[in-house]
Amino acid sequence: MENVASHEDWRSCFSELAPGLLLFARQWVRSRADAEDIVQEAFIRFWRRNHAINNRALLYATVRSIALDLIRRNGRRARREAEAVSESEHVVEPQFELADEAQFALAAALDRLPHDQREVLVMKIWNDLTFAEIATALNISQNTAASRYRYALAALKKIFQPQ
Amino acid sequence: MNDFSDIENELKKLRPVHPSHRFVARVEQAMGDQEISEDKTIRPNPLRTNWVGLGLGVA
Repeated sequence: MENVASHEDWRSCFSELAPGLLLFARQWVRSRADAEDIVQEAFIRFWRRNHAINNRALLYATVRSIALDLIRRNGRRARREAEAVSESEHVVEPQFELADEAQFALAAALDRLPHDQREVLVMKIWNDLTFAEIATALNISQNTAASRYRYALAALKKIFQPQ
Repeated sequence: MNDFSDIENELKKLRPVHPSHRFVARVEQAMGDQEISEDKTIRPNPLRTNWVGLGLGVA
């Protein structure tokens, strides 16, 4: 598809999407610096290949692909990071700007969700992707994307609103 | 309104950490560098036609 977006459009696009993209990338790497490297590589690749600027499913699929490549290339380090996180509830580099204890607890609960549910939640809540876009990015059906989202919300609701 | 609207609203109140200025500048610079390097690339144009030569040839 021909890309008619101007350079300024791309700058605005990056500025708007960067917080959500970084959060998305942080699911695979705990270091903010690694997440930044992933997002930079993905965004530049996406931009250079002249994809449509609004093809967000492809952009997020690119971030995911680069993150998984990084993990494969550096498996031992990723495992060490994952172990370090699981040993402590305190994430060294916070993923959210937390205002109070309740938000801290909610962010910690998010970290404990199964990965496939958390990535759908992150794409939907903080990146405003539709289920159709999420399904395309993850190569799953829309029903599966919607189910994972509901399972994630149900799990969080159970923790925070036990009744 | 669905069953999960309360927890959805709580989640939406969580703001992802904002990217550093250094990171944003780094990406913008990368985009700028790519543009410059692409502008400087001289590619042969296989469809370029030498109309003067063609006209002289026909004449």
